[in-house]
Amino acid sequence: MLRFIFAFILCKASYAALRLMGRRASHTPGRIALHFCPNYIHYLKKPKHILCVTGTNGKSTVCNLLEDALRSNGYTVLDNKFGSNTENGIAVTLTRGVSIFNRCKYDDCVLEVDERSSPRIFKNIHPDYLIVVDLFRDSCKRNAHPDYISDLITSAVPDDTVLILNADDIIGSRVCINGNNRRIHFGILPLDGEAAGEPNIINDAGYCPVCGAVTEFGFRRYHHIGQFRCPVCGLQNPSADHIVTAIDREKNEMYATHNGVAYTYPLIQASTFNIYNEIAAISLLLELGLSPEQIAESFKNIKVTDSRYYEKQIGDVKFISHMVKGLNPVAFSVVSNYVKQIDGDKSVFMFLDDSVDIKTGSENLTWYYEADLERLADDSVKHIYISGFRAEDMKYRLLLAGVPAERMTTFHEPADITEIADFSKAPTFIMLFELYLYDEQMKLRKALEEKIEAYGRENK
Amino acid sequence: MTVEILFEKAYLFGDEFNAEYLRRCLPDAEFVCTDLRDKPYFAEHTPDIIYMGAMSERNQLRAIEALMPYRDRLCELVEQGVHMLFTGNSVDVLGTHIHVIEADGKTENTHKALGLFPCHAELTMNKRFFCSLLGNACGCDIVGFKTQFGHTYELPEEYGFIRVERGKGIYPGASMEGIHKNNLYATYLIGPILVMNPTFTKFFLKSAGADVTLPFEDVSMKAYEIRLAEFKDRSRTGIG
Repeated sequence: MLRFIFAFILCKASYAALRLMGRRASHTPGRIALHFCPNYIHYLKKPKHILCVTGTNGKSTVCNLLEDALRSNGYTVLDNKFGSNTENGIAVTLTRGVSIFNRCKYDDCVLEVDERSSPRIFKNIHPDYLIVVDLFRDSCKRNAHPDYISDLITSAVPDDTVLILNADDIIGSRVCINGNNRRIHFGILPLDGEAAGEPNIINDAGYCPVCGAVTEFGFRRYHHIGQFRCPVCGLQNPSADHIVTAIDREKNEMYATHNGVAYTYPLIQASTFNIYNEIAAISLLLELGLSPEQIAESFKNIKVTDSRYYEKQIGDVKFISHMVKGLNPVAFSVVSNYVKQIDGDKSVFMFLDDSVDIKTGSENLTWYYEADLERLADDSVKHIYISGFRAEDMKYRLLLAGVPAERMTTFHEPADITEIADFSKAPTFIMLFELYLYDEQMKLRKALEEKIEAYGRENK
Repeated sequence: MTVEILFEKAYLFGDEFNAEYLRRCLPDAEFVCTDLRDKPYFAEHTPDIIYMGAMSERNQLRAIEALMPYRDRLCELVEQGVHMLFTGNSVDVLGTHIHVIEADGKTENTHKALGLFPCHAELTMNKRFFCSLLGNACGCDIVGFKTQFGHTYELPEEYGFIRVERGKGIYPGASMEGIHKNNLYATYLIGPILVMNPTFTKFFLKSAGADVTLPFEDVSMKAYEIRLAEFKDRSRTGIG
């Protein structure tokens, strides 16, 4: 206990000091505390309900929806929205949530949990509810593969944690499959006019996870998400308790059934990923006792803020800046698909050199070859500018994807894009930048916007 | 020419594209895809090339189970000089066994493997290993990337595939990476290795009887040479 008190004082003090210095302090105070007291999190007083959200994609959005809905219904909520989702960050969050006498000030705690860190986190935190939004491939260096992550989460979740799982995800829905946990499932029916997804390079359920037979999909939305069936052992998706049955993009409404009864919710964002995020959050809020009407009311004014996306119309040119999470092939595929679907012709600037990866070797090209870059061979993509030390590698990948050589320009220095880009090629100019290049991207964004403005003036 | 692709639907880490690249390089070849519950094509035929890529540890055990009845036939084909390429953790299936320390750090399991070579793999599931590698094999400079849960031990030096210049070999401290016997090549390198190493790919295919020009070979070579220069630049840290 003395170790805890010492670590607690250090954590509180270092948090205050770092904040005074203008730092986020979302990680370091926790690292210090855990260094001196490995069971630090265990001793911290927790809110009444601990609600955790994990998975590969969508964690932050689901957490934001939960927090906003709970707060608008009068709950006090502690969250790690501005902090790290690893053990260190959660130590900081929980420390923020208690007084100097270690008394907790909150009803609920919504924690985004890094799936890779879940064994260390759940050793000292007992989630009442855990949402697993989905499990996809992420960085092969860190996360290996979804099967591994599923096993990690399974090994860590307490038996009495209620699991809220994506029924359409045959990997994620099997977390703790042999455990005693109560399981609640959410899903989306094939929506009106929704076509089965284009082929993806990645499908991590090509073989049945139980018997190894070649699997079949009745309706495959993307990757391994859809209506799965094993023709040999009969394994199929669990039936969903909370199901999105339809959406209306014009009215911005989402229609869902809960155990057979139909309700209407505001459609927060129409992308399939975000529909999954919304129904996942609704599933948990219903469990907590909120009525569908209360949830719908609290979702009315929510906007999904997307820090990954920026858009500005500058004269005749629409400028878009979109983040690509490095080493994450599924996210890269989603962005490529998005680029293809943007109306009209476009040019693309790839600014993907990973400043973190370069320190440990930049030759990891696996994600280039797992991502569906074939989408960029679409005729509407008029030109692709590729910068950085891996430019020739990306050019080669795109050639193999079917992009004609004459539609590509490679160069080493990203800043040279302002001189090289030809804004007359297409009315939309899209910069794809890597997560860790955010600050550099901001500088380039400014320079590009000035260039586009100058281009507009010259062509008036 | 016939190419057998083993268990393609299980591939990970970009190794999907090794299979795809073979298809692009050998447009006239016949490709036979063997799934986990199929009898391998090589059981009754002699393909010119056999390829198997990285997969999850669960599928790796299924692959061993699928191949075990045909282990002797596989040995025979190795002796006959059939070209084979095993990449990523498919190296593990070639040793005598795979010893696994599970993610909890306590439970240990040992799984029998094909035993084509006198070596074994040791996996530690709560410790992910990765490194970059520069080496030389078959007269080619080879560059690549490793990400795995373990290493192979006790492989006699004579079976080494790539002489390591930078990075870690088949186990930390080893001077060689991978396994080579006759025309069987096995390496933990992912990347995908065939796309990233055009000189080796041309060597491998030529030796299998296909003296081909690679797709967009000039661009492939240029990208490779840039990467190779970086790897050979001793002032650059982070490699190895």
